[in-house]
Amino acid sequence: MYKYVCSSARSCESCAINRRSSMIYLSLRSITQYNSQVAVDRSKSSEKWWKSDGKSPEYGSSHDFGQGIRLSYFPYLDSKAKTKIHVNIGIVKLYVLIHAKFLCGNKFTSEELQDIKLMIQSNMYKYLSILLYGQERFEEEALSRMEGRSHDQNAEADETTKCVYSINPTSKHFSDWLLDIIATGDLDAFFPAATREYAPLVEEVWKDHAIQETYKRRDELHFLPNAVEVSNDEYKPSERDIRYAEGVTQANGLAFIEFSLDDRSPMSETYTENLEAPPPHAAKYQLIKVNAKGMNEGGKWVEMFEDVCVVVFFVVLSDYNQMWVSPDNSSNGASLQNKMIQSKELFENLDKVNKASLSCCEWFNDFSPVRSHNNNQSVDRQAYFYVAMKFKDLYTSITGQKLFVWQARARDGVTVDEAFKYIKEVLKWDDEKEETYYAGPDDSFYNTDMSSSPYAK
Amino acid sequence: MSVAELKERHVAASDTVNSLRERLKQKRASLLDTDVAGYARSQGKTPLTFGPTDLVCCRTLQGHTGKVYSLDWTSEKNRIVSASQDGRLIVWNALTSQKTHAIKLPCAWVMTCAFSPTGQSVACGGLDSACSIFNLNSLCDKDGNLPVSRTLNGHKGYVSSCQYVPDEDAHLITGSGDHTCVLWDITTGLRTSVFGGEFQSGRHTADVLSVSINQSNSRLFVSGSCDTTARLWDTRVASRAVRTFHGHEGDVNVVKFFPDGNRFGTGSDDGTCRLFDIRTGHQLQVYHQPHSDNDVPPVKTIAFSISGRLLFAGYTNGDCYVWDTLLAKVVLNLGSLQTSHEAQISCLGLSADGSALCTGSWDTNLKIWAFGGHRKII
Repeated sequence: MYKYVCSSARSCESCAINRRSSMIYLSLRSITQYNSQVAVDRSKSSEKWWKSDGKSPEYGSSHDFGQGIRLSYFPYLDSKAKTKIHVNIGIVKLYVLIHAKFLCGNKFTSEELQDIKLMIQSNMYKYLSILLYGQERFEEEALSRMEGRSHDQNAEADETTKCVYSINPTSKHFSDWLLDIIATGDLDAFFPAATREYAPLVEEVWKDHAIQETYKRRDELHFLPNAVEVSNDEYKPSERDIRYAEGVTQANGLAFIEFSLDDRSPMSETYTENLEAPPPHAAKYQLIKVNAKGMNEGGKWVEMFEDVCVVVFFVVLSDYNQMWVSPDNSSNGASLQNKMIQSKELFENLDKVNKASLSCCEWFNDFSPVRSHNNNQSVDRQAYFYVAMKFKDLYTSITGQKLFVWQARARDGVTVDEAFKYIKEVLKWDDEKEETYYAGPDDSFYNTDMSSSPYAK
Repeated sequence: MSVAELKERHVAASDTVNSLRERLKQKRASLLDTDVAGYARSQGKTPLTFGPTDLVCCRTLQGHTGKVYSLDWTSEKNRIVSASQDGRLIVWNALTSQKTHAIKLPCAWVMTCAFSPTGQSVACGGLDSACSIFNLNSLCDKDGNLPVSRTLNGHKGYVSSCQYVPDEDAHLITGSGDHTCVLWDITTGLRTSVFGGEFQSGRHTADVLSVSINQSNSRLFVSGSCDTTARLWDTRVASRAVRTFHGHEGDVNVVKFFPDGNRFGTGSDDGTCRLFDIRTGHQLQVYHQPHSDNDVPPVKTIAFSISGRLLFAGYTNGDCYVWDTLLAKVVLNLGSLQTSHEAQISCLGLSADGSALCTGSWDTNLKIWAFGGHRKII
């Protein structure tokens, strides 16, 4: 506790207490002395502020709730007891939040499961629409190619030319309807309420050869093979499904959970004699997921997070060749932008506000399965180091501080675990620095040296 | 029509709109012969003299453990509700400094709070994109927490500001980071109107940071946004804004109606406060204090005194200027007083009868300042 009481305003100037952590009391007496020189000009309505009601106000007392209302004492936020971690998504969906929940053994309540199920079901329609868009595009491309060829050969073009990407009329009807809904942005109004009705249609669409062909060219979609099962009302999300889901809540706001990690780090285990003893101080963490889609471009909401200890920024490594619609305020409308560049811009915007944060730990998420990589492991690692160095340099050039980087696979619990331990270590180093205790780089389990990368300049 | 053609026409139309806007701006500027301060001086008005003993801190309300982000007074009975980063709303009796309620919020990231006109409920909103209503008379649950009596869902971005419609406990207006303002019916929890929605004209193009309802004509309200404009809305006509007020060069952080309801004040990231007239649409006055070091601190919060002669403005560097609105002069800096807050003042509010000002700050305290007054020496 670091609150201190001063009995009179006047003597505060001589207080040697750190002004930021002291509370200054104004006792009635000091007001009296202070105001004895006040001019007598009095207004009736102001009088009530100067009447003494006979007892001195109880400043800071949390027990004093009139009218017999029972309320608990406020624990002062002890900065050591609770470390806040702010997690920012970038463009990526968050899987870590879900893992964190599993990590601390919390089970989802049945309400939460229901919410997740609804969300998975409605997300599935979004994926389906992506597939259908893809199918339309491929169909168009293939048909125009065929037309081109048939013109060369002077053959007669059949009006109802079909190609491998054309779907049957019923499915086409459903597809048009679904895509229209998505275009109006009203998906939430129809799904997941309408899910049960459309389950058989979804199955038909899925089985359509055209969709299967389309699917071969897009492999990001986990839910479609189980399309019918997911549509079913009794569907219960499995752990794997939850990991793949795009978030824990459908809300566009925040999702956050609190959890505590075992305070024993791999290093300290060698010093602990009794491994079965409960951890002396289980550090509590609060993980806050911010959906960057709902909060554009680091607006005012970022200011709320000025006091957090750690900001974790996700970048999807496989995004370097992906495009997404960028939120563009210019009158020219939305434009396509490389996703990696979008992440970078969001990262830069964040830093404008986070200059005071102690450290920034950055994760790189790697979607699994990984596309467009050779199976050669070393190429993966090199790519990771390259991107890591780029971000580290960027961060140092903006803030002059150090950026910590960790690679993890989003859906792989083990690497996410390790990433959490890394964050804890980073926080520990920071604490130890404050206590002027220097743990040399050799002591650390993790390599803190930036120049260790093979690409060091 | 091909996509390319459509795009061309869109660009051409935008250019036309922009040039028309420029012409309007110039025409408006040519019609303005003077501002409020110039006119007042020509009428021989003299600035107020405000000594440090004319506005005195008479209460310090302690109890929050995090930065105070927002506060609101009741329309009578001198109670205050304050919202803080520690995830609680506290209801205070301002006269006795006692806390009557301490409400633990479902989402700790609260940005705004409001008292209902009857004083029976409080509303709050924040990063959870929803507005939660608490009935102060309901019983606490087994954990000692006040239950949420209604949650208003529907915004697609954070709720930055909320205010109850005067004399209507069942309606409130919220401003949100999704660029819209919404009028809610609390009894059903549904949106009555959306101002600035997807396909409406005259909508904000960036986060709405503040709303203020006209106390004399509760159909009108003003919203301020990060797109540097303030817009006037009529609640009966949600399809377009009545008027848009340009002039600021930075995000408009706060808007407040002038007591008579014909004007409103704004505070912005560009460090100025401005006074606008809703009937003519003109900018009446700029309140700008030149600083020596060229670092102009943004204005975060404002409030008018009950006569409108005084404008209180809180800045991010800890200053709290009291402006003489007629003559555009700073008469007092509350932030520099010995008894003042130790950190930035984040919210201000005048009591209903205008006898006291409450300031909330990032130093976790609230302070009540009263005017003049005769002190009985004990």
